[in-house]
Amino acid sequence: MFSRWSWVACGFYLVLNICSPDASSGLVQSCGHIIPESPVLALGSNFTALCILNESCLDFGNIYASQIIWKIKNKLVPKEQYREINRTVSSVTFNDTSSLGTPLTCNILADGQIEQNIYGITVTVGLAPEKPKNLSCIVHQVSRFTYVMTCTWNPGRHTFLDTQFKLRYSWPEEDFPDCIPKDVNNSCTITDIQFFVNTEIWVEATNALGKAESDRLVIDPVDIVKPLSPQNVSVSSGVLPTVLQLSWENWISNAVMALKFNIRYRIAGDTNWMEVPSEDTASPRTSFSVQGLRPYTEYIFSIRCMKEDGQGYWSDWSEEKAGITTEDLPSKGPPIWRIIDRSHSPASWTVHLIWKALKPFEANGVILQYEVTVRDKSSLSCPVRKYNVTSTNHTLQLPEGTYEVTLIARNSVGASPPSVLLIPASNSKAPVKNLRTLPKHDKLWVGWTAPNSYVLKYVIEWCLVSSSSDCIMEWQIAQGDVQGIDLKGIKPFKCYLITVYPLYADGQGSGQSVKAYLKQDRPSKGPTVQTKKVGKAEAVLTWNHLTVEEQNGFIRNYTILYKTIDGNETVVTVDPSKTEYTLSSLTSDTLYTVRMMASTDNGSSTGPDFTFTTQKFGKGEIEAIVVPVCLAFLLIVLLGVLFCFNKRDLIKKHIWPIVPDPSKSNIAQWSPQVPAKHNFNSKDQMYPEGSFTDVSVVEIEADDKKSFSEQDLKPFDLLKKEKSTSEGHSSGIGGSSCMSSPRQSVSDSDEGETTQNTSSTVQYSTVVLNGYRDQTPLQVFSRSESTQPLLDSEERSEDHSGGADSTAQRQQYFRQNGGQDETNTDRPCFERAKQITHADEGDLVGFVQLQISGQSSQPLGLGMEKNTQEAALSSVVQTCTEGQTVRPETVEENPLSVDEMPKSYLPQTVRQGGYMPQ
Amino acid sequence: MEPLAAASSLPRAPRRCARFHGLCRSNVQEQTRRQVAVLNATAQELFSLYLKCQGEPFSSESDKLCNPAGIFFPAFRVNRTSERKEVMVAMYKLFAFLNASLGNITRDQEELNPMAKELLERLHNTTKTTRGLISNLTCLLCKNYNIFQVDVRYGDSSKGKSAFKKKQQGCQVLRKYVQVIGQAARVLLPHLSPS
Repeated sequence: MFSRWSWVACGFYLVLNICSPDASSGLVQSCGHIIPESPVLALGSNFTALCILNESCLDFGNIYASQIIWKIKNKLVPKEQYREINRTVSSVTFNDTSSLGTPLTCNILADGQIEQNIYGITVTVGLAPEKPKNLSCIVHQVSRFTYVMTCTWNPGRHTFLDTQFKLRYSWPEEDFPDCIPKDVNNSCTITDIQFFVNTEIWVEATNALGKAESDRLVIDPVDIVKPLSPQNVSVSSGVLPTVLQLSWENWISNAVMALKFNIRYRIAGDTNWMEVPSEDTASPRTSFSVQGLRPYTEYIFSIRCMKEDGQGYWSDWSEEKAGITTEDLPSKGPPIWRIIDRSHSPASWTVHLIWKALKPFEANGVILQYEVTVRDKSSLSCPVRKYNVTSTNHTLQLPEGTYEVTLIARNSVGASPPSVLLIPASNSKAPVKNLRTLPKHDKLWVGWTAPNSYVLKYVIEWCLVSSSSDCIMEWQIAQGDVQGIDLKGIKPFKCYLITVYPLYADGQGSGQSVKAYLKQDRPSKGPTVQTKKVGKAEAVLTWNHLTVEEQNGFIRNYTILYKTIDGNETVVTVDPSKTEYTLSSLTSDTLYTVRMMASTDNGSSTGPDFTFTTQKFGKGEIEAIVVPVCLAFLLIVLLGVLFCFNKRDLIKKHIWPIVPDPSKSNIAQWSPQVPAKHNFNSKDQMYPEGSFTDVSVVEIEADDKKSFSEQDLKPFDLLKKEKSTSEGHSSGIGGSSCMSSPRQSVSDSDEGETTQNTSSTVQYSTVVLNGYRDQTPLQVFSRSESTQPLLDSEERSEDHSGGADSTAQRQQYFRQNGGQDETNTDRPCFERAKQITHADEGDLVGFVQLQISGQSSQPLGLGMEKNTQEAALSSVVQTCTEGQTVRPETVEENPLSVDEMPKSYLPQTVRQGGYMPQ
Repeated sequence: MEPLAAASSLPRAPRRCARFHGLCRSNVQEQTRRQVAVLNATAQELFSLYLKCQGEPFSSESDKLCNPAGIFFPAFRVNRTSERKEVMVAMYKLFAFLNASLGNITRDQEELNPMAKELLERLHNTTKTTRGLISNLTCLLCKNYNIFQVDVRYGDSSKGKSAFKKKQQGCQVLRKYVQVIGQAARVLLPHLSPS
């Protein structure tokens, strides 16, 4: 029982002790502690820690040093590193502190397995500071009396610890406050310094692992001064045009520091500085005269200073100040050249004198005017002409000859030396040889081989070649002893035309020209190719040359690339001078894609694709096929015609068989009289123009003209006379329609000749009425071989027409292609019916019978069913006898009169515009 | 070791020469000359500026108000023919006095003319220069004559005096300073020129 309570008490005590956050100051005392407490260790050193258990814990908790385990963070330290010194002390040893971490804890295994923390320490591992190196100081002048000294050093390796750096300085008898760097560890600035005292300066670095001092620097701060640059610099021109006077103020008095100076200067606009020799400014001063300058030139000056003995540092350069030297005489005459225009008259020149303005260093001032003097060398008696010009060109009208032109530039101080240009009558002297160019960076070098004669000067002309504007010429003069110059301002990828003229003492050589590029590029575009002509196996391609702006270099060649849709590309290289090329060996009737590439030395550009299709047949192939075919056809036709001609009788026999002569019919005896009876006055009334659109005449030769009686031919003669009346009228023999009458069944007058050939014996007739315009044609076939006596009325009609002309040799049978519709058909009938009402009853009966007879043949021609036919027939009759209601009954009462016609023929085949014999 | 005079509370007096090893170099002589030259070059400007900043009546009555006859100023009875050692000692006494007096004047002017920045700056610089000069003279006395202690006397303190008195005392000291520094520069030149 006691033992149980004892263990409970011990456990409670142990937990209280172990869980105590602050063993020393808390309510509960810890069971142990670690020595050393929060050590700072040198990286790489060995380290031993001791965990010491309190005696009280031994009594109450039954814990001993043998139960101690060490941990770094949560990682167990190998037990090989433990050592049980006694029953309350356990040590752990680390041979290399780099393996250490924090926290390092001492723990026990309570009751053999419950791990409880006893104590923990924070371990800091780092390095002792290294000795600061490379200490150096500079004194900056801040104002006239204020100087600060900034020292810098190399702090050495990183220590991983909080390391303090101090810049210390002292005099022999006096120490000064340390300078503590802010935010950095390698520099510090001292504001309280004193010149002319040797000052000892050093750096101390201190951390938990030690302290290190730099080497001591003993300096007089005045020897490390970087002074302020001179101020209030001013430049004034002197009496001489080559001198400028500089003056300035120093920030440091000579008593404190004697200074020396550097003076630099440059021409305004130039970036290159020149410097006054340092020995000239090695002594204290506040002014200096800079000599050897160019007249009338703006110079920029700047000054700096440092301690006279050279100790310390140069100040910064002062602000730049400009000054202009005074004017002087122009140092040389302006370069002069001329352009001679002989276009107006060969004997009179327009001479454009051009010269270049002198460069500033040559003009030495403002050029006020130019004096041009022209002397005729070929005629000494001619007066010298003088011109004062303010521009840089002058145009003269001179007769052809040799002239000497002198040019002088004048400024406010005086005149320049003269420039002389000889203008000879002709450029007959030797030219330069071997003219060539070579790009050099941004300049184009032009070189030549001098002629054998002595050359005074060379004139180099050049201009930018353009397709859209004239060549604007620039020029330059080179001395006679040079054989090449650099052309400036040349643009890359532009073509220049360069011409070199040698100038001799007694004349001028002819110019030699060359084209050149400073830099080439690939063309900006490729040529646009198209076909000029496409054949079966070849195509002629054409293109235009690229403009000089598009070329960007010398076109070395053109390349034609062409292919079919699925074929390989074929490449052809073409000379750059060509603008046309013929592709051969192409496949016929094939789509080709072609494009063209222009190449310079620096690349190529391809133009747009162009497609074309080769022809299916070659030239002449179609003609070779068509012509023989046509010839063969014609030959066949011709042969056919000849055959038909030879066999015409046979053909006629088959096509137009002999038709019984209707004139022998009794009906022929009344037909011619009808018109007189019915008193048809004009065709306009009876047959309006256009009623018949086509009339075919079937001619049947009568075997014996004379077999026809005069009477038989009368009706036709009468109709011939009244051809205009019968024009376009449809009729069949015996009357096939309600309007039919023997007299009206005669053909159109246009076929009068045919009418004359009409056979006297009409055996067969076909009347075909074509549809008027788009109307359904009405075709009527009628055939009669009847010799049946005509009605009395018909016979009487014949009597009335007995006086008719009977000169017709043939009877005509008509085939009419009429366009009459029902209305057209009815209308004449109606009109005629009205006329008939004036006739006697006999005529009327006969007419009705005729109508019935005529209608009897229509059903087949119209292609109607019988009932329809009958209805139509009834309608026709009724229409024709409007107002006479008895007429239909008359038709119905005599049906046999039609059926009983013994020898009538009906057409078997009905074809528009044609007929078929039965 | 040869004591020059009894030292009584001499904060700037050289006491041990051992500390100068390494710092007391050959250039100290030239440095001392340059320091005297700087003081001589700036003394008059300092005095003029001081008078200007004190206002009337000092601006117009400086001869009367700034007459140094009634104040203590170290005797500087050396000339170009005096012994170098004697010159060095005299200069030490002079600049020890001036350093203390300039310190007092600076303190008074900071109180009386706190806005007179240039005057205060010049007073500071002059004071610093005299400090450096004393350091160099100590070096020379130790190195050349093994003298590490010099008896010096300072002027009366201005503490507790009226503003006018403070100004007048400063005026008197500076006027005397201008006179003496010129003499010192002349005397020192042959003695400190590079041999």
